[in-house]
Amino acid sequence: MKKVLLTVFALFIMALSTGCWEAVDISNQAFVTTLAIDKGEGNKKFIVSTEIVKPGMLFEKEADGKAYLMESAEGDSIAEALEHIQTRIPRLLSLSHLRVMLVGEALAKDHFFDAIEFIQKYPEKALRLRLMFIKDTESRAVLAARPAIGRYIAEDLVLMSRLENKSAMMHTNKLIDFIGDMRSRGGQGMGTMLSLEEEGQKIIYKGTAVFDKYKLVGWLDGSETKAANWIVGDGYDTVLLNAGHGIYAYCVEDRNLSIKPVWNEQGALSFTIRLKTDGILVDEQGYDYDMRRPQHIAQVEKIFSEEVAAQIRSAVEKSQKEIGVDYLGLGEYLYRQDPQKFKALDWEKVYPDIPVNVEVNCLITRFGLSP
Amino acid sequence: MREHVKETIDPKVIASILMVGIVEFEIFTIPRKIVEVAGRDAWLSVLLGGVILFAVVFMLIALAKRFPQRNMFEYAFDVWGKPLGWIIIIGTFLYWAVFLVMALNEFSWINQILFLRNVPVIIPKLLMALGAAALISYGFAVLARFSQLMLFFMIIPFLGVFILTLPNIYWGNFFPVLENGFIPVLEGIIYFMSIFQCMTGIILIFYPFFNRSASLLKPALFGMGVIFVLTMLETVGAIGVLGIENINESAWPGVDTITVIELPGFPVERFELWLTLPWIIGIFATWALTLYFLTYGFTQVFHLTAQRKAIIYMAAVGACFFGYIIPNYSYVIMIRDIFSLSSIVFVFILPALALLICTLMKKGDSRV
Repeated sequence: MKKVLLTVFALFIMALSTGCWEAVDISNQAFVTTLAIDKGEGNKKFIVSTEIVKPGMLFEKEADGKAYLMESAEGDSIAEALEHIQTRIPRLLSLSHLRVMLVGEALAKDHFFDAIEFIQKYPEKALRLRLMFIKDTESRAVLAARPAIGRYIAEDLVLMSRLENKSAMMHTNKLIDFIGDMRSRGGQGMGTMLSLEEEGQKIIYKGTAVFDKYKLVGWLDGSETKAANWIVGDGYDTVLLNAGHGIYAYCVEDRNLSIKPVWNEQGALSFTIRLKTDGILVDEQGYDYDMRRPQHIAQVEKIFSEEVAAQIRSAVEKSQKEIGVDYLGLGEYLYRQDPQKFKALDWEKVYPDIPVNVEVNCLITRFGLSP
Repeated sequence: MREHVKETIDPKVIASILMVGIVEFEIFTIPRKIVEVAGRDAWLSVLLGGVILFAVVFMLIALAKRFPQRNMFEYAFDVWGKPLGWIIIIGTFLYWAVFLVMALNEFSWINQILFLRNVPVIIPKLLMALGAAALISYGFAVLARFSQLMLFFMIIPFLGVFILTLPNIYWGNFFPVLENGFIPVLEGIIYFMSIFQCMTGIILIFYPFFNRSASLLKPALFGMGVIFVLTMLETVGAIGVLGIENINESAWPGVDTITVIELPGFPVERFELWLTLPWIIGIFATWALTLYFLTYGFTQVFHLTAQRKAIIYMAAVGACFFGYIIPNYSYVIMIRDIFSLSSIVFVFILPALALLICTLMKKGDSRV
């Protein structure tokens, strides 16, 4: 009798089994991979556009159609807009595979952080998703472009963002790092910039969006981003210079950066940026130097060091004089060294006039297969 | 009255009971609690708390050694006297009962957010509660074997998570050190210590069950050492990956930390959901242990050992329904915080006072 009762009880439990109760069939889900958010045009706060992958099209060998579809709706919150989009999609919208969030320029200059709050609360999301800002246009224009290699836009954007250590012209960070920077620096920081070329057909991953007080205040182009990345980046960088009778290119493969706040005897603050790089000479169009001779290498190293130092100075000048925002994070170095002194300063006011000394030492340890 | 398992349980098993029994969902939330008070110095709170923790293990073993054949309920009246003994015993029962209700509620809220949105929360709650009741109704030996079996399913994923976290840690997040002085670090220690609510029960109730209880100290220290390392890794990982600003905005920093990690080329995109395996094992084991402490103590104190099985099932089902008194997750967090602070009293202060009384008044076996 006891065994019968146990069997009945086990069957009862199995019938109630939660896995069967709430089975989630992935073929009944509409996975949103990109969320593009723009400023509302009417009386609504946001226009939300979604890139929804069509799983069946992902593996079509000769797929003429797109492997994704795009839907837009307006709303005062992302949740409201998604509710409207859901009314047009015969499958349940899911943000569990959201990879990229795009923000148009107009919204970035206004209240885009409200949209971030939604994402932070949303339980299904993964914080590895990327946040990107679109220069000169609305973010939904990116969804209208054609993917260059991938099967859908998010795939291309994620692959491109993973090249951050291979290209100094881009600045990229994960959503969580961006939010963390903004919160710790009073809304100042650097975000990923995208732009569109060739009548909106090609996505260009170059440049940086600059923020102050949680709003977009400016853009850095590719070369300005390259210069800024000597301080904030951590990847490969190629330095070009005209020396003698030709162009020389030096690719940095390893770097060691030190930023130190220095107080002189009068109590005035300055910063010393010391950068040591190690890399390879990848191009040598002139014949002014013989790389088999150590003194020639030393000469080339000196020229490259001066060039990199000039780039760093230009990055600091752009931040201090032109934009007037500490997006390079020099204040954070002071805060880490002496939080009390940092708090005693009106950082926003004093930052543009703080002297910054730059010392660069570029080393060329290899020069390819030809000296 | 006591289960006759003395010949079968090796003292080394206490290490796995401590590890499986103490690690529960708090390991994902503890960085937020400590960071709230200690900021980026939370790791210092964990480090110093670890030193105190080892001292507490010494203290608990020393107390248990004074009464080698008896558990904490049996010698409570000898140590505290009748009136105070009753107050402490009833207080301890209430403390465990609150934990049972809270932990089950927390389990159901998280389950609902992450997995089962439409299933009535009572179903997973009942399943877990009845499963735990069935396990502990077989007694201590089965509980001990269960902890040994589950240990590696818990520890290996945790270590794997930290290894994956390591390249994403930004060490700048740990500076400046001691920005707000040492007081917040000391406050952080209180929160760190509060996660060890099962430790006292495991040592002071299970002590007589081990066949060579005199050699319990080393495995107990080892078990606590592993938990200390896990908590330290979790805290360092959360601060290094998320930064304190993001931790303060996160309900479960431990879960958020793993959702930041990218594994290019890995076919499963949402691989972090594997973390729910150690969580489910951890919360089940901790819940089962607490249910065991409560029902074992209750039946022993009130001489109801013959009805123990029925009481176990009644307590398990009762804990499921008492959860309905708590209206939302904000209350769960609030009561959890109060509960964490009361842990200091039940887990550390009372045993410390008991040892002090025993030493001063020469109670128990004073040769130890």
